[in-house]
Amino acid sequence: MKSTPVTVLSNKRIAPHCFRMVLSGISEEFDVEPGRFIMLRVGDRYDPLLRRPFAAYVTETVRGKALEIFYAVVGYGTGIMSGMTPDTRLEVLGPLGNGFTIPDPSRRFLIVAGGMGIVPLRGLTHRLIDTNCHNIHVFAGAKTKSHLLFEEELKTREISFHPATDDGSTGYHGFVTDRLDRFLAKDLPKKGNGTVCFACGPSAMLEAVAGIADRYGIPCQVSLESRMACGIGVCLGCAVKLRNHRTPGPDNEYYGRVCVEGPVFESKDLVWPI
Amino acid sequence: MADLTTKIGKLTLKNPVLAASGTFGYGLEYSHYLDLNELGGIVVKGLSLHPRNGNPPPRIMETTGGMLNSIGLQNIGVEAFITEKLPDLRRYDVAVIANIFGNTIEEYAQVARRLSAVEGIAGIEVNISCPNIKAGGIMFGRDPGQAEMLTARVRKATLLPLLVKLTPDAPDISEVARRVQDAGADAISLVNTFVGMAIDVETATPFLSTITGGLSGPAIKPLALRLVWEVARKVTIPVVGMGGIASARDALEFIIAGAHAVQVGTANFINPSICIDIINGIRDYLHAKDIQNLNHVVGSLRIKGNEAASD
Ligand SMILES: Cc1cc2nc3c(=O)[nH]c(=O)nc-3n(C[C@H](O)[C@H](O)[C@H](O)COP(=O)(O)OP(=O)(O)OC[C@H]3O[C@@H](n4cnc5c(N)ncnc54)[C@H](O)[C@@H]3O)c2cc1C
Ligand SMILES: Cc1cc2nc3c(=O)[nH]c(=O)nc-3n(C[C@H](O)[C@H](O)[C@H](O)COP(=O)(O)O)c2cc1C
Ligand code: FES
Repeated sequence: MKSTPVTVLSNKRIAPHCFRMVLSGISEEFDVEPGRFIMLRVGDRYDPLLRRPFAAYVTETVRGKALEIFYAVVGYGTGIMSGMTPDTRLEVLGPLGNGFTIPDPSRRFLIVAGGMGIVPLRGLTHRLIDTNCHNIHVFAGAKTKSHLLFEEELKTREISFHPATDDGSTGYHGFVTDRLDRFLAKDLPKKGNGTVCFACGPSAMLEAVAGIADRYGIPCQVSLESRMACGIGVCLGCAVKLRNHRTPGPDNEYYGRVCVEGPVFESKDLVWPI
Repeated sequence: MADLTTKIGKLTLKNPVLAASGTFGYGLEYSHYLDLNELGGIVVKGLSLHPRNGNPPPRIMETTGGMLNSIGLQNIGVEAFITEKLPDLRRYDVAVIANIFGNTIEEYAQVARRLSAVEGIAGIEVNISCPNIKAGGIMFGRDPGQAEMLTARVRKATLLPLLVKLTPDAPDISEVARRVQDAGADAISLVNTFVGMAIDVETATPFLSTITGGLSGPAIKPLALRLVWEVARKVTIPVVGMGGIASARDALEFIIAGAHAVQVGTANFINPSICIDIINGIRDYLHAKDIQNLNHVVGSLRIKGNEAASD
């Protein structure tokens, strides 16, 4: 696997904070399991220096297979990306890391997203639907209605969509995790039976989701973010504290790598708060 | 074709380009991205007597043209390296150099002795320059007396070619280099990272959990180059230069300044096959200049006014 040269096909704002970029040049074999990511080289010199990690999705275009990423403009690198025009040449490393593990389709799937966390989870819902999962609930938190991504796309036959916004402009007025908690509270008799949970978003939100899932006895997979330099496991910059279940005791905590052992982890394997 | 081989003590390298410690894992991680057999050598992640957990996150932060890290020498320990990594590494025809560190001089010696007892280690690089651990590391590298004592002790523990890696943050790096040479080192590696820091002004907090960290990458190249040039003039043993190398031209600058070999660190993160590009670029340069042997380039810096003396 080498770094793949790609070309910007399109790069458009789709929400006040978010751009969609489509990159051509990947091979026919290129496939990204939901939850895996790519490292994108933003320039061709040293500024910015490091590649930036993004959840990746393979999409079909008139010109064949292409890579689709959705990014929030939060800093220097994503700021530069937002000004890129079609035909800009970039480089992609990946797909990298471990994605979501999908249990059998008869389960009930609770998908909990905060902000940009919806991006890898949207890929996951597509995969779930493709593999005949019918009982999917998406809980999506956003700042306002206009920050809520993929709303139309995620309102399908298989999905119950539960939005939550900070300002109440659509859906539940408040934290998405409170929305989730209320949903489960009504659901108590089932006590998590056959339910699985997948979450991605800010770390405080993930901690809340992990706590709720734990309370209801629901297995929970969370997708983490971390600053990364290499994305391939060599720099040890993306460390997150994990619990080794085989050796109980105070010495059972160690640092794993978000880029290799993750970015998706079982919430019980993480030492919270992350 | 030009001869790219270079000698570090009794160790002969295929070419002068090595992957730097801490940026190349235990080597095997990169086997998907390049042919390890083509490298001049691999310096593996710093090894200690016992496994180390490293520092809490956040551990890295990008700065202009560089990055700060405070990994804290997280590693699997020398035993796990020997049993879990070395057998696979040995299948490659590449010089494996073990980078080592300890909390005490005795620990350094123990790790060196352990590595000398196994097949497949081409040399030992002693890290007396890590800014990110509390005990050991840079403490030994700042003080010429300590550096000399430590080198002498490790020298007694191993017959393997011995490289000692210096910190750029020593008050008198040339003096450290001279004393390390006197104590029996076969080569000097420099530089390790420069101590630096970065602050999040929104929260008025440092970006790294350890407040300060080590700066690497293109941003440090001119500083590193100057130190390599200084030290190479003051010692007779070979110097392995590094600090911000990201192209063949960067590598050639270090070689012209007096380095017999170079290491590539942070640039591996940006382009995982960059070492190969650099090797090819050096070969092309020699070809274009019609130079038969890399050794003719080592220390070939021409300084106006001094040219008669050096020719
Ligand atoms: C596995 C993974 C998948 C990701 N997927 C997406 C995605 O699909 N869409 C998306 O918009 N973002 C995603 N991110 C986050 C994205 O990588 C960062 O937002 C981006 O690197 C910021 O770059 P910058 O140069 O604009 O920011 P900088 O100028 O470097 O920093 C600006 C701000 O961004 C934060 N930041 C920087 N790097 C990261 C990082 N690696 N992770 C989290 N925060 C960071 C900083 O703390 C700072 O507040 C993902 C991160 C990871 C680790
Ligand atoms: C993430 C990271 C980890 C490092 N770990 C080690 C280490 O374990 N031992 C060591 O001697 N140097 C270590 N270094 C220093 C590098 O080997 C090298 O000396 C330094 O980064 C300068 O070279 P560069 O600018 O090409 O990266 C590390 C550097 C980085 C960026
Ligand atoms: S980003 Fe380098 S080890 Fe994960």
